[in-house]
Formats: sequence, structure tokens, C-alpha cells
Amino acid sequence: MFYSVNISIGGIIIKRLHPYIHKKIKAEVLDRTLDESLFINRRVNSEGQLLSKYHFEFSVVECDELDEIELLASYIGNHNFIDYYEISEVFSGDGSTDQWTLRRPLASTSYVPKIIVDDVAQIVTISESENPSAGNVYVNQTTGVMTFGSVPTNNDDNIKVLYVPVFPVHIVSCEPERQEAGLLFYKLICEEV
Amino acid sequence: MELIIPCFVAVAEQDPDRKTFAEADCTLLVNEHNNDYFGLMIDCELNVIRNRVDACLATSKGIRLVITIDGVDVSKSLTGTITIRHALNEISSFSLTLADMQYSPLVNSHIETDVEVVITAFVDRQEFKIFTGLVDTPSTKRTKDFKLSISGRDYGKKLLNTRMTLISIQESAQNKYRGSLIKYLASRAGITNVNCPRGDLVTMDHSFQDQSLWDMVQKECEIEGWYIRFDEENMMQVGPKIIKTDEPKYPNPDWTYGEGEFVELGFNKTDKGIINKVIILGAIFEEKVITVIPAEDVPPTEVDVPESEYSEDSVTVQKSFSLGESVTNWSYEDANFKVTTKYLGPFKPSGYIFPKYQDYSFKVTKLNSDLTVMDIECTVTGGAGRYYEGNIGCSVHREIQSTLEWVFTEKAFSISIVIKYKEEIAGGDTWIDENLPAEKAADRIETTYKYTQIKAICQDAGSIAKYGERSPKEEYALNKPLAETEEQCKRVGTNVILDSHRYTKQPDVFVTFNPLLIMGHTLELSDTQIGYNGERWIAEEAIHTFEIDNKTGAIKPRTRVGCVFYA
Repeated sequence: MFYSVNISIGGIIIKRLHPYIHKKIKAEVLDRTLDESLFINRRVNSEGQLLSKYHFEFSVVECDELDEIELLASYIGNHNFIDYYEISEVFSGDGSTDQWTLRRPLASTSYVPKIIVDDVAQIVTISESENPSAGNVYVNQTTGVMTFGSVPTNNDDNIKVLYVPVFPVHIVSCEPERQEAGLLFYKLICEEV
Repeated sequence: MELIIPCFVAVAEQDPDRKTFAEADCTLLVNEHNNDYFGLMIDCELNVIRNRVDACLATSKGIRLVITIDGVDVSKSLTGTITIRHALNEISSFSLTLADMQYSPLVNSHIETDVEVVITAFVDRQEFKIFTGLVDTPSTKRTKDFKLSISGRDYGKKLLNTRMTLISIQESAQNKYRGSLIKYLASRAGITNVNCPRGDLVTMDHSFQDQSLWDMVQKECEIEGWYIRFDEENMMQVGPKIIKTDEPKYPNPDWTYGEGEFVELGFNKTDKGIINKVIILGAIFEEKVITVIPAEDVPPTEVDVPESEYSEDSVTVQKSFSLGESVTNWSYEDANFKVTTKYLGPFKPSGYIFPKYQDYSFKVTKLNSDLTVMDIECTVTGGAGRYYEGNIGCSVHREIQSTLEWVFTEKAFSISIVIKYKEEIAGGDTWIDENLPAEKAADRIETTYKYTQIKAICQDAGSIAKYGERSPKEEYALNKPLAETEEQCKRVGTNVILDSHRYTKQPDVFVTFNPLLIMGHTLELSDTQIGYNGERWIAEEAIHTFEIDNKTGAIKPRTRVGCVFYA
């Protein structure tokens, strides 16, 4: 599927150019044992879910937006970054918990998350309420809290979520990269904080 | 119909002092029989859940680390490597680094020496408190980045840092058993959470001069064969090393690691430091022996003693006896003289049918040795008459009167005794007392002390045959003055020999992070390619490291275990 969308960074909309790097870095460390078995140490949050951070690289043509982006790069604060990609998060039910928290807020109410529990798609509503009926899931747009109307069963990795998030990012660099057809291309690197 | 049957489930612990990590979940199923009677068939399923143990052994695990310093959560600022080191009978230590300037010791009051640090790891959502201790030295180094290094030790450092002289601690402890003495020593450093066996009764004085409480406790523990560990809950655990290499006695080791469960596997072999023959010299008991040596006579000496000079004086004692009054009931006494009476018997002059008199004697006795009685003058008037007078006494006839009814009564009379005496005031004995020494010295008492030292000779014949005779520092004896019995000396000697052989084989392994592994646990290791065939080893050192990837934030936890060999 080809996404023909823009990128929003700090409220500035720019058109995404190729090549575009949207890389998920998992906070895990691997070790091989003496017989080549794999030890996997995953850094998790208080809900026991794997932590991950995103890395973004993309080109920007020297234009009016560039000035604004360079200005953003000088900020000490972080910026909201939306690339309109759907990212995934997976949770594990324990038979009693009915609330989990997405690690990033939702990009907007226009992008309703897809949630599947034990291979059954749930009816998802973006809402601050926390009392969905059975088979429904309410997701709070700003906090990322998901409330399930039916308590997910006790199984590993049985709650799958696809959603478009807002990443808080830090602009690591914004440097001239190449000149092509009279246009100066800048390379912008952002790291999720 | 609901039927409730109480169900008791017991999960055996391998060692009451070192808890195993099982939880019990029991489901009792009571089936309804088809004749409507309940309880005819009962199925009981005991499912021992080993969530915590499984989390430790899992090769794929989720890790979360929470560190508080003085109650403040600093987990988000952690960087670099966090190290926690435990070793048998040693004070555990930790080190960590923070990368946030708000924790500069110059501005943050929580970053201080001796504030409490608690390190908690969550492994697959199971919580493990892995360290509780105190900060030693926070130090910052600011180049471009800010780094605050913090190191510290467990609560054992309180014992190490408290140095004092203690006299007769057995008198101050709750009782005179060694466990109580150790609790008392710990309390002097403010440590009151102590789990300690009772131990032997101590019979001698236990005093320590100018040394740390840690050393004192170690000296007491050595006699019992005990080891100290401050656990994660800040409890001082004192107890014996339990070696589970005897498989029939201990069917299950504490931990089993097989093929594919090591990241690194090492092995050392050495015969350094082996001791296979030792004499343990224990307490020296002192016995006091008192000998009485009779005094020898002083040889006579010839001296000219001046003649005595006296002062003379007299004293008069008077008494009147009424009609019928008993004479023998009377006596007289002052500081210098005593007058006593005695009944001598009846006296019947010739021609009388009945006795006419009762005879009595009066005797003067000198009470003051400085005086000399020269003479007495005795005057009797009334119904009695004196019939004898000497230098120190006289005798009287006391007349008896009778009525027509033959009632006999002794008559009234008075007696006056003038005692003439003299006192030496110069020369003679007075001069001798003042000028000559006693003729005879007093008996001499000689006190000697006899010393008996408790000792025991210990040796390992098998080791001597293999390595030759090895003794500590080319001598045979080790001084352990707190060992009060031969049995205790033997216990110390046996432990010295046993411990000295433990380095003859030393596996060194890196395994997946295992927070429940504590010192003294038994590990069963298997890696047949290099010769580990399920032998059992004792863990004496464990170093937990957590490397934090600065880019991804990923934690790489590992446990390195140093093991030793016990035959």
C-alpha cells in the first residue's frame, strides 16, 4: 500500500519525499549462549510491554518550510511528529485487566485505531469514557488509555493494536545533503524522545 | 448444593531460613455422584506455581529497573552500567551512574552519604527487591556531559564503620548464648533486625579492644561456623553454610543450569592456600592456686629491756544481798574487771544437826590485759562472814536462819571488794611492744596461676596424601581465643580445612539475570562438551550487571556467578 500523505512536525506540514526512513528501535538486547540459543532481554514498562523508540530520516527541499524547520531544530523543547503511518502495539491479556495504555497519543480522531483481541476485531470508539459495552473498546485520544468492554483472556500477545500516533521527537540534525536539478536537499533526522 | 471443605496445603521448604520461591495454588474438585450424594469422589489438584523462579530462569524476559535514593525514584536518569556485587560473608556493594544535573550533590539534598538506596527489578512483571543499602560516596564528573557516580554498600557497613572497645559483652547481652552476643554487637551499630540461631553457651569473658563491630561479629561467627548476609529487606541473616552436595540428603539443588543456558562458562583450578593440617588453639583458662606457707620463727635476740614503771589504782565493787536473795544470780562487769560468784556448798559446824551456813566464793577476773591485779580487800557485813581471802578472790559463810516450822532462809548481807591494780606505763612489755618487732612473722600466702589452653588438632588424610602436608603459614597453629571447648576448636579447624579446598575447582559462569540466587546456594551445572556433568557447586560470588544502551534504553542484565567446590 502506498501512502501519499504529508508529514506534520511541530505543526508544519511538509510533503514526504523519498527516501523516507521510519525505523522502530526495540529496547531489547540479544545474547547468544554457548549453544547459540538466544537470550532476549526486553526493557518493559510497568504494564510489562516492550518499550520501543522510533527514528525518522527524510529529505526536505530548500524552500520556505525549511526555514521554519530549522527554527524548530533550534528549540530546546520537543515537537509533535505525525507521519500518518500506522504503528502496532501488542499487549498480553491476563483474564482480569481491562485497561491498557498505548505508549503514544492518537494523531487525531480521524484515525480510529484497529484493535483485535484473540483474532476478533473490536468495535473501537475514540472517547474519554471508560464504560464500553461488551465487544467495544474506548480509546482516549490524549492519554492513549484503552478500556475494553470484554476482559481479554489470559494469553500472551493476544491484543493487537494498529494506530496512527503522535510521536514527541527531538530534531537531531537538519543538514544539506545533496543538490539535484538545481534544488538543495536537506536531510532531517528526528528521534523519538 | 454448595459444599465447602477446608483444604490444607503444605509446600515443603528446603530450608526454613532461606525460603524457596514456590506459591501453592490448590483446587479441590468435589464431584457429584450420580446417586445425589456429594463428596463421594474428591479430586485434589495441587499446582505449584513457580512464577518467580520461572521468571529468573527464562531466557526471554521483560526487565524493568526501579532505583530509589532516599525515597526518590531516579530510574529515568540511569545511564551506563549498574553493578551489584554479593559475596559470601562479605558486605554487598553497588555502583550506578545518573546523567541528570538535578541530582548534583551540590544542589540535591537527597544525594548524600548514608541515605538509603533500594534497587528493585521487575522481571516478567514479578517484583524482586535486589538490593537495599546505603550510599558511600556520590561523586560527579562534568565534562560536556554530566555524570554522577554513586557507590555504596549494604547495611553491613554500619558494623564495619563502628569501631569501639567492648568489655564483657556476655553481661550486656540478653543471655549468654552466642546468638544473643551477636545480636547485642549488631545493636551497638543500630542494627536490630537480626535473624540468628541460638548457638553455644559462652562461659568465659568476651571482650574486644578497639576494633570494628564487623570484626567482633566475624570472630564470634567463626566459632559456630556461621556466615553473615544482609538481605534485601535489610535483615541481618546469620547462619551456617548449607552445602547441598549430598544428593541423597538434598535431592534438589537450588538452581540447575544446563546446555544452552550459559553465555560464558569458565573454570579455574588451583592448589594455592590449601590447609590440611592445623592445630586450633582456643581459650586459655586461668586457675588460681593459693598456697599457705607457715611463718618461720625469728631467732631470739638479746636486748636490754628497761624495768617496768607502773601507775597504781583501785576500784571498789559493792553488793547487798537481801534476805533469801540468790548469790549466784549476781555478777559484776566493767571494762577492766569481772566479778563472778560460785556456790561452794553447805557448811555445818560440829554440834549442829542442820547446816548453819551456805558457802559462796567471789572471784575477780581481769578483762584489760594492760592491767595487773595486785590484791583485793574483801569486807563482808550483815548475815555473812568472810572465811578466806586471796589475791583475786574470797569466800564467805552465809548464815541460815530457820523458823519453828523448819523453813530455812539465807540471811541478808553486804560485800565490798576493793580491787587493787597497776598499769605499766613505761619499760617492760610496753618498751618491747614499742621497740622490738614481733617475735614471730605472720604466715605467708602465696598465689600462683595455672594456665590451661583448649586445643584440637585437625587434619585431612586424603588431602595430605594428595598435596602433602600443608599448614597455615608454615606453622601448625591458628589462635582462636574465643573457642572455649575442644569441640569448638575441632569445628573451627574442620571448617578451615574444608574452606581452604574450595578453590581447587572454581566454575565461573554468566547466566541470564537471576535475582533470587543468593550466596551459599547450590548450583548444578551441565555442559558435557567441557566436562560439566551435573556436578553441584556452591555460589560464593554473584555480580549482577545492568548495561543500559544510551540510544535505545535497552537494559542488558546479566548475572555472573563465581562458584567453588566442596567435596
